[in-house]
Amino acid sequence: MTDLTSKCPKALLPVGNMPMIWYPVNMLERAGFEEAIVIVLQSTLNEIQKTLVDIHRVKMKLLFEPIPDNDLGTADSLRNLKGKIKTDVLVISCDLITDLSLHHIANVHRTYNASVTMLLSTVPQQYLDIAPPGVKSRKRSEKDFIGFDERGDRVLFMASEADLEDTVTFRKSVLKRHPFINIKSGLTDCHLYLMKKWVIDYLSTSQSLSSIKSELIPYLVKKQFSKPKKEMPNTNQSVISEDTKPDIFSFSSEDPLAQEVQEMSTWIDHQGDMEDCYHDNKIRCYAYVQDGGFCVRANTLSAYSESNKQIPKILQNIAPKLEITNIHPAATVKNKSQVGTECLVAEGTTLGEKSSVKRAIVGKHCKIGDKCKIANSVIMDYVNILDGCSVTGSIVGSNVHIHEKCEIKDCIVGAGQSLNAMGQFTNEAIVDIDKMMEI
Amino acid sequence: MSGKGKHRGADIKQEDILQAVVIADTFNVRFAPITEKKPRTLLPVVNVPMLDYTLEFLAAGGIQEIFVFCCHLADQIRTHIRNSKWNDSSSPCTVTPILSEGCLSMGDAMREIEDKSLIRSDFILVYGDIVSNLDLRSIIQEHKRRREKDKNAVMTVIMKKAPPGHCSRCREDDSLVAMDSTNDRILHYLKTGNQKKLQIPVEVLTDNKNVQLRYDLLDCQISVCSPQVPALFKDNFDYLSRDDFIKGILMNEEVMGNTIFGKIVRDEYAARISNLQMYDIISRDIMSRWTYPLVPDNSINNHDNSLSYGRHNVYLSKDVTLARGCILEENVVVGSGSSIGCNTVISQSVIGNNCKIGENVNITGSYVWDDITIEDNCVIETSVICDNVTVYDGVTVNPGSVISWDVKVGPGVHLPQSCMLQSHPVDDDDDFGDDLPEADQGQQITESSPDFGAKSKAYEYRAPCDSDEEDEELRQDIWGLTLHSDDDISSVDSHKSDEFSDEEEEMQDEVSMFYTEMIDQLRRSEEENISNENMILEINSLKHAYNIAIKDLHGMVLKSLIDLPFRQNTDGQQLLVDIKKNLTKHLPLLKNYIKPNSTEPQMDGLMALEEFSLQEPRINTVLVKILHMLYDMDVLEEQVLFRWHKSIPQAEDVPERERLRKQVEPLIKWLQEAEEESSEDE
Repeated sequence: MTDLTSKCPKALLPVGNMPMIWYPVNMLERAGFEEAIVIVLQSTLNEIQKTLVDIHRVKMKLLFEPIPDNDLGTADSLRNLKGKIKTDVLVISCDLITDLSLHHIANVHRTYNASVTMLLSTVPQQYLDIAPPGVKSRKRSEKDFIGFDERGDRVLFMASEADLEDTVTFRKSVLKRHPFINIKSGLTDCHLYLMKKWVIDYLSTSQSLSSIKSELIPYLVKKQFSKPKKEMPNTNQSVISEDTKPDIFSFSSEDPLAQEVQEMSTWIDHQGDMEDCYHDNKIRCYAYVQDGGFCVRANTLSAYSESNKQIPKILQNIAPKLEITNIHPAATVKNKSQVGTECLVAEGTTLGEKSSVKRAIVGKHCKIGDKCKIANSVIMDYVNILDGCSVTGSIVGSNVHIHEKCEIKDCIVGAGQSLNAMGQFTNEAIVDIDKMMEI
Repeated sequence: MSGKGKHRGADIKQEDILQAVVIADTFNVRFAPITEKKPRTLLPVVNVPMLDYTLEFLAAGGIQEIFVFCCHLADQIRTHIRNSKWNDSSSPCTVTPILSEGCLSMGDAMREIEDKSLIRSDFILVYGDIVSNLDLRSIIQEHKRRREKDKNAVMTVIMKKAPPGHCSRCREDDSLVAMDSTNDRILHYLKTGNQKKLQIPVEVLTDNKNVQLRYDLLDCQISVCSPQVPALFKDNFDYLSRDDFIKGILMNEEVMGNTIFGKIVRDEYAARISNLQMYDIISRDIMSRWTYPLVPDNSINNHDNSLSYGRHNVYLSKDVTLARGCILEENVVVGSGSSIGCNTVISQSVIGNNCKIGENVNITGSYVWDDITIEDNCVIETSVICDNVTVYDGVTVNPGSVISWDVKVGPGVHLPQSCMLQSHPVDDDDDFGDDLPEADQGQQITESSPDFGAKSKAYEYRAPCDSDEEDEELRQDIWGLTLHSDDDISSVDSHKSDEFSDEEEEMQDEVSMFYTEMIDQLRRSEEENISNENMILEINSLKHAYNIAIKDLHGMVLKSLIDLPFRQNTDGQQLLVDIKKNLTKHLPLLKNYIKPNSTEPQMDGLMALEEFSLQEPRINTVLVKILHMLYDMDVLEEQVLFRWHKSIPQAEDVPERERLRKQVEPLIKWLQEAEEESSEDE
């Protein structure tokens, strides 16, 4: 999505005329969270802070945690926060847009006293099929294979397609304990994780893990079945080199009270043998699979444009207080113009005569001339579209000028661009050349 | 329905007749020596021949035409069927025996069936040793519905859910099945055998969205087949068993387009009496009525000697004689005409017809067939005793024993565990010339009965060595004993160590000369700072000069590297440090000979170390450390260490060698625990 994020931080890209980051923050607010730490890049700190606190008036307490601008992985950023996390933590990515209520995940997490619980969602086929706007490129498939137990809660296996070789190996000892593994490949990881505090503690000692999704979680999933390493007996002589790295299991200590409860409880998570609950696995990964509702990670162009199209339908559910109407009262729509039901037109926007807007989001203070046709598109703020233009299937950045009678189809127009009259564009990314070079 | 079956003719559509093929032979010798006299399918299970359970099951499932394919001792099966109720006019189905003595596998049987074109529509394919109360009708219906949509659905495999640890799972049939959970199509089928890690082709996961890996299934070898199955067997003459067939179909799925589906049953009973262990388990299940309606008091065959059912699952015939004070604890069947003496205790056992059991006898978990005499004061545990056996006074039969037809044992002997006895000497022609581990086959023949008591007529039976390695591996589950697969490996190892020591003796002089030369060479390298590459060249030329086997070389390189610092007369801590220093320095040299990922050189090295530490008590004390050091340097792999540790010492100084192994125990244990770890961390 570099075409879009060159001028505007990803977290602030508008989805349904709201900055993307507003959705996860809003979800936390709905769920009753009172405090959240927002990890932002140093350079975008002020902008994001201003947007969230001043413009959208988020009531919950937000702590902004700037990180340096160089490439830090998700796990790296989490490691920096070690001192500030006092209890179990929910990690969420800014591009998650969902109408799910968080208690489902929390329920799974608490039921099994899990180490990590993640949110997965079934991706509707439509998201995969739409051609994203902009330059056509070969689609990379990034399928994840996630193996569940019989109940469909516990995650027993995790691998991404790229990591797999010719054969996939399963160990018999694992299969003996978990004879039923259901491997699904149509799920996306929503980058929402509920973690025990010790996971963060562990993270702070193992510098090698830099990404939560591709390193930490698969590591935890794997480690579920191994036993803590035993110390080599009689090591009184110095020949044997000591393992200096602390074992992951030394972190995963359980609350003694919880342990007692587990021992006294008759509940057991498996059948068929006489072993203790969870087979004494100290690390346990679970997942909640979202099915049916709306759950998108707007991390690709197609997901971004599709979530924009879907958002008018669910905005009411997510934020009933906002009283969102299709056409903002402060927007002017002139005679004989049509605005479809699945549209959002923000404040201060004027729509000329005989124009039509269908399945599109139009940002603030845009001026759309007469006889324009806008469909399946996202128009950000302060965009001028002059008379007779047709914009379909495109994403138009803010401050863009489109002169008369342009035809834009399946394009990305970067912020601040100006398109000459009568221009015709199909499947193009219209951005600054120097920006392109930079990329 | 019975009427239909009998008078089937032109007026009934072909599709209406359900057919089944029963393979009344399993083409292996799991039940030897019992099966020498009677085919496996006629062996009594709770006093009823196995085959009758299978036929009953098929008839209950609405099968109208059953072909029984007989090979070994086919005549007996034919006679049995002729005299059974299936030959009656009231029989709901026709049972036709097909005799083919020359048939050596299920594949052969299917090809013969294809040649005779007996199959007209979908049919059931089973072995003749199934005990099941499944409802076949619904499964057949499902198969037919699927076939209407998809002509290429050639087979539906019926599997029973049985999580690991379930008693009716036997190691032999342990399998991992990958299924598409949306339509129950089988994507991959894997016999696990002794593998620790199971590999699934990645395509299984990438091509299907929703894959179930099931390790909790028991393949009960009941399959609903489409009519083209015999033809497929004929086309692919390399398909021997049904497993081959499944494997082949799945492999060629893309080319041929044929598919196999699975049907998982949960609540019903289905199991195959595939070996003695299963024989034991299924017999118990029948007695404890898991297989209802196939239970002892529902007379399965048409004999009118029905059994009465009492508390604690005790089934008695009408004409049983029970003396005062005899106790039948639970799960006991006593056949007609049998008598049981005073103070005899029987539990978990089946007593056949016309048996005479004396006083103070204790029988537990055993299967005593017909016309058997057991005299007083015998103890019989977890064994099978065939027809016409006489067990004289005071004999103890230990678990896992099989006493075959007409044997006489005793009086007053203790049989070892899992002892197999037969009434005639072992035929030499029986064992074709695979190298038998012990060559005392010859002794056995001359060995007369005294071992088994003064009045005995018994010879020990030894299973002929199967040339099929895979088969051999699976045989390890001897009934009544829990043996581990690793034992097989260790016995192989010990032979190798034998050879090793033999060779060493022959070339003792040259070897020792070479060794001193090498030590000198190493010492010189120390003084003159010769590089490892040059050392390798030197050693190679020495090897040729003294004509040293590569095997010995491996050991000696390792030994010399440890010997050298040792000769410098240091002690305790310092010695270890020196050894480590020396090893690290010459690591490239060592690795040149003892390459990683090659077991044999590593094994040779270990053997040499073993010899060495026997000679030198000081090395002996630090052997564990040295091994650990070598392991850390990736010179030795854990698998080799395990193998060495398990190998049973064969040469001289056995107690010392055993002590040595004991000494290394902590390291081995630690490695075993760490192995799981490391395999994951990869």
